[in-house]
Amino acid sequence: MRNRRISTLFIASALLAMMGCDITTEPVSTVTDASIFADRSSYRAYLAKLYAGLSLTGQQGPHGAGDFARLDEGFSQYNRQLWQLQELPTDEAVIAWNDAGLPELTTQLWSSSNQFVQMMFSRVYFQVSQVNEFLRATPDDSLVARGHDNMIDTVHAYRAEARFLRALSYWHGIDLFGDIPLVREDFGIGNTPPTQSTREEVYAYVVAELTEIRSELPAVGTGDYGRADQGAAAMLLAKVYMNSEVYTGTARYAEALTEIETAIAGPYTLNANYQDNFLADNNTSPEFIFAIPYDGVRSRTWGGTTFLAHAGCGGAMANADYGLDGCWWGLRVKPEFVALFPAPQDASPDGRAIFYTNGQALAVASITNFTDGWAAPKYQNVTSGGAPGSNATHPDTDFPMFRLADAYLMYAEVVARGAGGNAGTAVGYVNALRQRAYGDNSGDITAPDLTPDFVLAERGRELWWEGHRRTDLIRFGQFSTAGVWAWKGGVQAGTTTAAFRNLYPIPATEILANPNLTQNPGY
Amino acid sequence: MLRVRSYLAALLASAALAGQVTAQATGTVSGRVTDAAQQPISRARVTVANRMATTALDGSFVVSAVPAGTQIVRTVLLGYREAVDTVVVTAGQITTVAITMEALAVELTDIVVIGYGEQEKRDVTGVVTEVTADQFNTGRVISAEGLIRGKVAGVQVSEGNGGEPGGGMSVRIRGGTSITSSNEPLYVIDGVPLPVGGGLSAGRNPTNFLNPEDIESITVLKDASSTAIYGSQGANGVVLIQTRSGRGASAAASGWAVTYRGTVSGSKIVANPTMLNADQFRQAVIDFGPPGADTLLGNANTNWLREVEQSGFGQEHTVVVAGGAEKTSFRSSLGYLRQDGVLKASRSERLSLNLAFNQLLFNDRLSLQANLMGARTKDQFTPGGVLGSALNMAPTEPVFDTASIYGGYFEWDNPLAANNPVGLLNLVSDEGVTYRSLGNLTTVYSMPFLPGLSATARVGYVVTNAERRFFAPSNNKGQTEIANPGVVSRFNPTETSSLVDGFLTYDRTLNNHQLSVTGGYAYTQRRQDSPYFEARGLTSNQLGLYGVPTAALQRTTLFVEEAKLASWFGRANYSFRDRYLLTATVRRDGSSKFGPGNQWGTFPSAAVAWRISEEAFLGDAFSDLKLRLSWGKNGNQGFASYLQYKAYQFGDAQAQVQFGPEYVNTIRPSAADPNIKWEETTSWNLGLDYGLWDNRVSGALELYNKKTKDLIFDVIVPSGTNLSNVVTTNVGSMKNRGIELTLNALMVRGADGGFSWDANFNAAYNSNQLVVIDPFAGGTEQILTGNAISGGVGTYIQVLTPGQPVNSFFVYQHKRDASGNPIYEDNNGLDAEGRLTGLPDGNIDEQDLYVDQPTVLDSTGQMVPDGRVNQDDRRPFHSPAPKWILGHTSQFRYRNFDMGLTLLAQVGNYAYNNVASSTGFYDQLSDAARPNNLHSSVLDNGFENPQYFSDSYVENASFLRLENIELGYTFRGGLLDGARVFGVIQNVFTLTGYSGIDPAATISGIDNNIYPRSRTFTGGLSLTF
Repeated sequence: MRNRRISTLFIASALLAMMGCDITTEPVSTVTDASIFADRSSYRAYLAKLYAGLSLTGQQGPHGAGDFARLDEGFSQYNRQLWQLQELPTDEAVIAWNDAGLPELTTQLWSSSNQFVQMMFSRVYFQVSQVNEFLRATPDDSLVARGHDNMIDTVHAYRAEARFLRALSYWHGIDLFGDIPLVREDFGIGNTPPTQSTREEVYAYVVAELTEIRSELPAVGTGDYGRADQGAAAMLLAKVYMNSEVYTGTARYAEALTEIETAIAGPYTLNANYQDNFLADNNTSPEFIFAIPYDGVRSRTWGGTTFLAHAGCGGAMANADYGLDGCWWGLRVKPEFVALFPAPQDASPDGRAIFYTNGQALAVASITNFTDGWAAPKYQNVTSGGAPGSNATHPDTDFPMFRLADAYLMYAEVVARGAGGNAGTAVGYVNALRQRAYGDNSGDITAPDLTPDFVLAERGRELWWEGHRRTDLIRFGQFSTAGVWAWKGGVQAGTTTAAFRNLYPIPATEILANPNLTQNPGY
Repeated sequence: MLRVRSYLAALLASAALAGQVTAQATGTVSGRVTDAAQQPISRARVTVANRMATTALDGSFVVSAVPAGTQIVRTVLLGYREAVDTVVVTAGQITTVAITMEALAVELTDIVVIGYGEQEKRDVTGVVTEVTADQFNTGRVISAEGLIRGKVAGVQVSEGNGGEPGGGMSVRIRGGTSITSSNEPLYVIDGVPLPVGGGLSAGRNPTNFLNPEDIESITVLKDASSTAIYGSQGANGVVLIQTRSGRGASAAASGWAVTYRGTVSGSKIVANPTMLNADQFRQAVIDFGPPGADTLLGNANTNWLREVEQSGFGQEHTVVVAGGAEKTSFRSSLGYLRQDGVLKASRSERLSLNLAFNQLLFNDRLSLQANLMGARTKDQFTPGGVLGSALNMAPTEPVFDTASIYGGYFEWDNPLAANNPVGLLNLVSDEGVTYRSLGNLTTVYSMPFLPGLSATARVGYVVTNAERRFFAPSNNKGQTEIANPGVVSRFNPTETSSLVDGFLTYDRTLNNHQLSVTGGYAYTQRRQDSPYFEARGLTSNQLGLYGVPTAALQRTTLFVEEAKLASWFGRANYSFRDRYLLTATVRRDGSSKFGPGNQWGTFPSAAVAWRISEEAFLGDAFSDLKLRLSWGKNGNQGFASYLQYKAYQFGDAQAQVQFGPEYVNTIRPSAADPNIKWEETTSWNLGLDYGLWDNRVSGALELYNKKTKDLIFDVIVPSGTNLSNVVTTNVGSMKNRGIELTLNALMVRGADGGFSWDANFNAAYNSNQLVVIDPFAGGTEQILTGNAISGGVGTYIQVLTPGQPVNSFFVYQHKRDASGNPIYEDNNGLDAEGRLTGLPDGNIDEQDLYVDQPTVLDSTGQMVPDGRVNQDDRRPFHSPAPKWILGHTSQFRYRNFDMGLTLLAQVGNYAYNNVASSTGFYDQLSDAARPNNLHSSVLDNGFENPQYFSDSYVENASFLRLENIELGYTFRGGLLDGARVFGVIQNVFTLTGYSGIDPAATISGIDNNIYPRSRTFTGGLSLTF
């Protein structure tokens, strides 16, 4: 009897052990791709993530559950890196911090190991691969299989927006890096490295994609704020065509002009006050064609305008005046940029000269000293009415990626280049901007003033610190072998640099990970 | 399923058979086991013809149902030589035998613990090193890992954070086989495996729940033959911890005994980083700061490091009640420890309870063992940032400032300047409490129908419930710099791990053949729940850690992770004539951490050994000589679950996206490798055990070669091919080769109380090399690795590159002047084409300071410099892993006195002095807003800009340390008979050329703001009633 009891014990333990046959465990605090789209709201939520790729860095605000590993999450924000790569090497900006690779952005002496270059490259392809995954997850037959037939039209529109975002990032990719891999949604997740496409091939793809999807986007100026409509598509196409000569060797100003006119014909109007475009309530600006929205409560990041507002504050500036809880002592402007404005620049008749000079030297004797170089509180966390934003750390201020003033100046540039358009219209557009800046017509120009050099300078005055400067300088041949400003080439007086600096290097990490890639010349 | 069924069928069959005990002519053997002095020996295991008994406190035993005829009686016990006697058993009669056991001269035990069983040491074919309690390191040792530092060849034990009391420990056995963080061995406590890395904790070290006083032995399994039985968990080696059971009770007449052991200790910091003093700092600001910056400085002379340190007092008490009767034994222990750290506000506290119960039942056929241990460990942490602030805070400033709005502590206004470490220390609270319990119930049943067959069933569990509490008031300077100042948070992880295993063991001896076969099944299931909340923007600081007043922002998160592991295992040991030994092991593991095609892995091993000393030709000089050869495969699965899934994670309410008038929550899929598979290590070991002159000198020599393939690592993906920039995947292979030498010697053997000296030497050499990295088709040459260093953001200075040791430093070669110091001068620049000009350019940068390495091929096929210094000129340069690890232990005895010491040395390990590299440059002062102190190395090298990637910060950190020295006195006779008083000094001295504070800084090789190591003086006594 006893033995039987004992044996029963062993049988019981064997039965317990059998429970171990099924050794599969599925995630419980996350949802796998097999079941996420059972919920119809997932389509919209995933589309929101594709937009979040421009504004946020992870699944927690302002940071946490980051999109990337092994990169500093706050630094890795799309808007912030795009801004740094487009502004720091130019005459417009200098940053004080000593983070590895950051001074080299200011001096144009970056190497292929520069972490900020790597972050931007990673951001471009994060967008590309997330859009690709979205497209793979949402074809019509999958919707039908899930019983979501009645969502097909909605999802079609989402897919068009997703492709707009992919085209936007590919544009940034060829603009910054030149020849890059073209990865479409038919390139599945896996370990096969893609091949390198030419800048021209990716350019053609961007144009073809935007042309194909534009009819599926809302009409110009009718999309939800923060989302792409045909106005955004026209602006993106216009920007791509404007730089076509740089990307492909063939100028396409006529095609650009068509798109510029499409955008200008939309319901956009200039904001009455220039600075209001960069304040906490700028989401109401009638001038924005495509903006990256931020919110002090609901859309928090360490990049975007959190970075721009805080980093631009320091020295004797009182943070509370700008709706901020503190200053980060980083960004100033270089003296060559100040010189674009009519004297006296610290009280310029041009209202776009937003400088803070108290305790700030004009010359940048030291990159790392905040008080060297004038401060420039363009982005602020106070509303046009003077009230602070909803949160003192994370401004409500949105970042204008495309606004009407840019379309005006592109129109003027096409005219100045003699590539089409109406000179009177162009002068009218420029004067509209200048009258807003001067408060009267004292700054008006006439047709003979409208030269390419004037347009470049005017773009500097109007669009400074909005992430356009490097592309503009390259289009005008003023970025590397011509054009001298403080610390360019690593010396305070500035010097020209080699032409290869017109492209950033493919990140060293990327060259290592993908043997199909050839590094840009010079690196 | 098929396998499960057949296993079940076997058990059912055994159950059926069990009912019908065959009538057989049997008799009984009884007797008494004593030592040479005729003192009874309890808890010895007596085996007669596969029947077993354990001796009672008076040394007596009875073995019934022994088959009639001539039988061998084997008696074994730790610390004694195995006794072998012969008896003639007559059916139906009681045969009496008197057995005498000989205590071993040197502490060589004849039985060692191995996976799923025990084995006589002479039969072991693998590499199994046991450290018993009397060999443990002494003094204030809080964590179990620290007990064996320096004691086992090829085992490197390092603190994760310097001298923190009870701080986390890392153990590397034979160099480690993985490149992920999970290089830690598997810990198995009384047969119950701990979760990888020891499991979770809200405190410092998850193994701190163990009271060292409760540990009887720690056994390290090193080669594949001994670890293969743990299959997918064994690649990094296995550490088996046996806790004490009742058999340790002394044979007092009453059958039970009470012992007490208590110690008190005091600790002092040994060394601090050298920062500029107030005068040096003021001069540096005048010379290198912006004009007038020195006028901002105060007139104080504050040594901030002194302000945050203290003497660390400690005490520890353990009371043990143990005893037993003929068939029962028990042991219970209650322990209390409290150790203050040498930095203010740090402390480790432990309350532990351990119960062990053994019972023999059913004619001694069933042995029941139950172990239950539980502990509360409470850790108080010096708030993060205190050490960094103490280094960086300007020495010219005072601690207090009555006008300060930051709690009365002096603070700079600028948010980028260092904060007052004393303010941080006194205002912020950070503590963790961990409740952990481990228990198991093991039953061993000797099957009646087949002598030699026994079945073992075990259920075990590890439950951990932890709480980490943090509070920073809104007036702390760091808090005032962020939105919503003032934070209180709690993290309440729970981990439950349960284990069921069952195995059959069959022992058979036939003439010259001896066979032992073990086979069984094990299943573990693990679940971790991690809820967290934080509240920011506190309206009041009065509630501190223990309440949430109205808060502006609250966040809660919850993450749950599960894992399962199912395993079949088998082992056969065969010996012929006691001299030719063969072991074969196989384990088949199924793990939830891999995708459907890769869930199951098979891990075989085989070993042979030849006991040459049994051969007649060898003569008498060798008391033991055994040649061993083993081969086997192991796996590693020590990483997170769900890597094979594209897992969509939901965004929180602060990470929404504006779509027109509304804000939309987001979802994001993670990067995934659906084909991720096991890491697999294949290893060879050639070993020689030797014993000379009746084991007066003994030891072992080992040669090993380990190759690991399919290394799992987070690698940067080719852009566009996955859903993040990094995916965890199989990336390549590496190898470890090494030699280990152990020598135990009874140097002097004094007669009866005279002077005696036992010595142990161990030495291990390991060479590690990464062989291939090939995560993606086409391969890659280098992967940056390690932890991001302090200074800059996301700066990595270690690399994985083929042909070099794992985690080699990856730095520029700094040009040196005639006396070998790194240069700092402008002598080179770049022309417009980016080529070196050889002329000053007004700018001191990498072109001036670093060597342009030959990185490109010229027309003749020679590697030549490419004319500029860039990323390509960084090169692998040494690694943090020591080439040699040496340990020495000596034990001296003279009459009532005893003395012991442990020496430890590492040779060939390098450390990156990150304290110097991140604070030792003048440019820190170029901004008047950031008057941070500088490391004194700047006085020598004059660096103005940071040189994070300079090889001048990679230093040889070889060292020799007198780890501990102990002196004890034992009372004999009288009231205090058996009592012992002792004193210990730990970390007596360290000899090293390393300029940082601790050459053994961390296993990672990055020395940055580690907790300073202390010298500890301990005094104590032990009493037995």
